[in-house]
Amino acid sequence: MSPSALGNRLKEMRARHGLTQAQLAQAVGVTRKSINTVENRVFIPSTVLALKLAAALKVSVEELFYLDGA
Amino acid sequence: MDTINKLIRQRDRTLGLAALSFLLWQGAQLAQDIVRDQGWSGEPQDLIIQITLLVGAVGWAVASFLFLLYASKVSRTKSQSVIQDELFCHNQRIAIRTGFMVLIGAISLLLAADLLIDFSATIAIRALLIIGIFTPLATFVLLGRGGDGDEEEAA
Repeated sequence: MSPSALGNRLKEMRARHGLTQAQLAQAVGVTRKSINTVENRVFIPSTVLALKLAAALKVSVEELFYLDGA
Repeated sequence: MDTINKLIRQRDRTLGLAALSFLLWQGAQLAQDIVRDQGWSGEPQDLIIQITLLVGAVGWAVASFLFLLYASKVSRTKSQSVIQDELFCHNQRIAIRTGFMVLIGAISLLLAADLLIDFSATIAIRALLIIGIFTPLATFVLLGRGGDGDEEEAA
């Protein structure tokens, strides 16, 4: 699956919670680079990381990630 | 988190230095093998090879020392699980796969070249060693350059 096929609202949700990339990265236990690459659709996170991100931002995975054209 | 970013930068710089110095060190050694094998020894080329070999070997030694320092810092700060996160594993997999593919390509080329040119096994093995170590290291460093964008502050 191409990373461009998976859209996300990470930046929007993160901003809503007043979190920086570094703070979100710390909350889910990854590097800021990982958050940056997910946000910019360079890297597709695993299910575990997607669930952790959704939990940290208090939204469902479906609200956070979507398939382009679906 | 600032510590993590510093450690990642340190790791990438160390790996970059290791890749480059290994290429110089073993590349010069390979050049020396070829020059001796073909009887092309002479004053200017031998000197250039010796200097490159020395610079590369010193660089490799420095990179190894820096890597030990990095490993000790990672252990002291207990940050291994964060540094070796999903993106790290993903980039590592791509780097190893790229190294493998390039190595297979190089073996095929050497086999084809063997039909046309006569060269010793030492030259072929060293060339493969350089490719097998340099390619994954360089690929990993290049992949790590992505995602270095400015910190997106919260709105």
